[in-house]
Amino acid sequence: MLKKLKPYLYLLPALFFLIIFTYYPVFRAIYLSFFKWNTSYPSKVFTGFSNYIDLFKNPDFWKVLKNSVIYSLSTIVISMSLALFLAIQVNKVLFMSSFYKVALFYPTVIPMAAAALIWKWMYIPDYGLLDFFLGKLGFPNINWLNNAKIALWSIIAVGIWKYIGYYMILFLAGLQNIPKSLIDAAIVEGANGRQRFSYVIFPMISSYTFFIFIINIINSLQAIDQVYIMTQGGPANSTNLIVYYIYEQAFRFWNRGIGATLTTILIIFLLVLVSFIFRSIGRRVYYEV
Amino acid sequence: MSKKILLIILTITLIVSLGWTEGKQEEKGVIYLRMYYPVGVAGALAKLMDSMVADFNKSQNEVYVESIFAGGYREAMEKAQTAFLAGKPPDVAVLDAPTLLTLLDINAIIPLDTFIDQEGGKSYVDEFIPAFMKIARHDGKIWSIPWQRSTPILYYNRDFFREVGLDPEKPPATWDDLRNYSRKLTKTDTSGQVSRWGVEIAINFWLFKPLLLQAGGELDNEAGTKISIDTPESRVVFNFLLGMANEKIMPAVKQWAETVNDFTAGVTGILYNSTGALTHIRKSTKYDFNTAFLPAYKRRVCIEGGGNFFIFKTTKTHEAAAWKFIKWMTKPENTARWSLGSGYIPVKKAAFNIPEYKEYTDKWPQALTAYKQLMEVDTERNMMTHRVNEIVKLVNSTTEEIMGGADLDATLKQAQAKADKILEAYQ
Amino acid sequence: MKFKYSVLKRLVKHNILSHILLFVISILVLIPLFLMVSTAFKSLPELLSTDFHWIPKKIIFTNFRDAMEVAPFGRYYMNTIILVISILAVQLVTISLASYAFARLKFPGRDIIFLFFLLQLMIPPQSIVVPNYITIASLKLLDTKLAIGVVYFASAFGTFLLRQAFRAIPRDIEDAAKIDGCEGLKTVFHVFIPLAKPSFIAFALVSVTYHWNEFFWPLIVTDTVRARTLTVGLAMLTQATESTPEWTLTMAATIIVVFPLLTIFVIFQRRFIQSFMHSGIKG
Repeated sequence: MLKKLKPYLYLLPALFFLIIFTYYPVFRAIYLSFFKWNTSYPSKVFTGFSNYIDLFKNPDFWKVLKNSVIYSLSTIVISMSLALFLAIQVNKVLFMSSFYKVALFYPTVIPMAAAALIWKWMYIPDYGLLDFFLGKLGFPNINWLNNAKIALWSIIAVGIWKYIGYYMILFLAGLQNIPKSLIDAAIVEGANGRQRFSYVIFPMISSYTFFIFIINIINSLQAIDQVYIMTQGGPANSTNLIVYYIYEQAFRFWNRGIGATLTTILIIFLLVLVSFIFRSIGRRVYYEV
Repeated sequence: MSKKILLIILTITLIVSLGWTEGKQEEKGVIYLRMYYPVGVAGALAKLMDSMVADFNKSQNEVYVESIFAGGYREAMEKAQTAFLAGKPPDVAVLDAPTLLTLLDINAIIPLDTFIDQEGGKSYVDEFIPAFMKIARHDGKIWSIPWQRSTPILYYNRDFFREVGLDPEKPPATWDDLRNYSRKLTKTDTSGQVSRWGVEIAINFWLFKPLLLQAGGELDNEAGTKISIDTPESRVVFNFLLGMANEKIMPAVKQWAETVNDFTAGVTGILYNSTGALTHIRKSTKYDFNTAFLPAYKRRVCIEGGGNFFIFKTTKTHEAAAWKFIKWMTKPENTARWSLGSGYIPVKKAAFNIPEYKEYTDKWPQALTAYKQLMEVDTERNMMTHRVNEIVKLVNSTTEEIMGGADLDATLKQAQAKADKILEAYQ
Repeated sequence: MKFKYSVLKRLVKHNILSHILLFVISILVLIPLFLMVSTAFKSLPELLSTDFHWIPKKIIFTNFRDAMEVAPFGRYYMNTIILVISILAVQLVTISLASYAFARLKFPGRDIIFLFFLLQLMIPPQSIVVPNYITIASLKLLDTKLAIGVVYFASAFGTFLLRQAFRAIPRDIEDAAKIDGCEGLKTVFHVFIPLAKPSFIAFALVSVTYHWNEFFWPLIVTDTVRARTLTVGLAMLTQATESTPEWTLTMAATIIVVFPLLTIFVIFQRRFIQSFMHSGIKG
């Protein structure tokens, strides 16, 4: 009997915390999303789906979704392609390669909160670093964080800078796993650089690409530190991203019901997205064991 | 080897779990209070607050107050309401006075009338400047005690006034003056780049409301249950602001803190800001500047603002101890000290007679502008509504949208609908 | 034409183009770091003067002293160090046990439970702060270090990483240990953990980096210096002095916060990069 239970005892400690702080909260959020619970109703009142309806009717919610999609897509596309490009270059060179790796990777070990402060300082209008050099080059000053049309891109730049080294390292792992013989064979067959990339390298690292893609989605949907420090979602909600919106609703405004509803929507979105990706791309990915 | 690892892990876990049981702060016979406070204006005010609280702690040995810096006004309110609703309220907090209705909604604070009666009732209340007591009253009770109180005022750079041929003793008195002066003060280089703005008005509901009142409008109703933003008067305000922004004599969107920096650094000639930033500006600018009343339009009107002390529902002994602390902090000499260090208006009349304070205002008459404005100009209440943090964000965000170039009519209409939705429980 | 072509060829052959590109991009990525250091050693008047120099005309150290004066960074250091070490310690215990079960034991529901673990990777902690905050509040843990750490005590990522490592350990070794009278828990501590050391180090570096750098959750559950971590302290410092253009002081404070981890990273860069590489990929 005890012997049968034993494996579960090994799992117990981890499972305990996993259930209390990951799975219970998910169900708690779903449950709370059916209640009106804010400073007008400090004791919660059951209202069915009205939180969902309110959100879907609120233009701010759609704006936040749009911002989040733009943020995720652009960080994914730009940082992954740049990271892959850099990884291929670093993989080619021997001399100085550890310098490049350190220089490109160091943002990963810096807190996003600290990075956001440094970037905020660079973005300061008029006497900040970027405007100073723009001025030197004869360009007009740009209001990096106060212009609703630009601010989101300023935030995206920080996200790319922060993670590009990490993704590069992951790609590098993939590249180094490609058997040298395979590449040599391609060269012997007379494949040029582009062909080697599209027919050998890219398929061989597809599982890595897939993996980085997943991390990137989760990372980009979690972005909040830089928003909190640099713009607080402004100007005019143009940098308000989904997790910041959850924070703003649930803590700044104490709209707990809405906060729970947003949490539920985000989790459902993530799970649907991930299962969809696994189904459609996951199968086609070339798995080298 | 592995045993060693196990041992090390166990010891660390043990030490850590010990470290985690936070030692109880309450010593025998000492009441321990937690106070949240915000810093809403420029300057090293957190330091001053901490040292005043330390002095209170030294002055007696029954109550010990821990001062907890909680960010700006919005962050402090966020922390206070979240903590209260999570069952861990601060005992006392300085919060933006208009948070009153929201605090009452969640039943977080206690009325102070019993304490006030003990101190002499009406005569005690009369020690405060009456204009500041207005916002503390609701339903016939007094809910807070004034602390860091202010009005928005105009700061202007006298050096720049002289430079462009304006009379440095004649600040702009009307909106037209403001625009004309700003045109003169603006400096544009050959490439069309503005190197000095005429005026800067940060995106902030507290600077927007007086403009709206000056245009003859209203923002919040008396009961705090409605916001009127889709009105002809707010179009007048926005058109005025947009006009200056399009003329490139005022930046369209600037954040509160940036504008103060710009004024001290000489990037703008005129600044709308709180009197609470005065000490910081005085200490950090090399320019000769003066302060003035806000320019008028249809009405000559201003609003009051700033933070009050609130006592949260805890236990009788803690509430009484919190009152003791508030009483000490608002002694005339202490309000004068706070005013000297910040620029806020002292909340007690007697503070103005303290020699040190008189000496200061003789040397820096700029410090009296806000007080005079309060006395001489129509002063209305700060924007006070239910669900205040949300409404504040809505007003600021709407302003940002419009100043950022969004369609005026559509944006105002949408903002009105959002405001009505937020406050729907009170209709 | 021919000449040009051969030059190009030589450039490609020696990867000169790669070097140029990498060098330029590396410098661009390093700019924020340079700016942080340069600003922290400048005086405020020099910073606000119209001209910009990477190397301060006069190098001053007072910004660091001022930053330490404005905020109790010593206390924040203590909190952060205690926090990251204890999270790691607890995690190591929970994940070793769980990964051993997943890697070596057969029991009904194993695959389902494993999937259950994996799913955690898809639910980022930031997204469930609202219900977690409510839980922490009802456990009366607000404003403690435990509140920050407890939500991370089980790591799906770590379990996954170690399971892979444990599976790679040959059965023979385990069997040999069994003959020596080593079974169950004993095997985990005497055989598996020592043999999977590289994976442990990889996990430790990733975990410490993550929790040292974390900001949002500690911001939400802490109020006072008793539990506040370095990143939160840094953000509070900038709120307190927000309006003062004291970027010199802020950047000095930022250095105080990033220095230890950045230094360790530069010294042990190979190990670090290997760990992050390894940790990502075995997934």
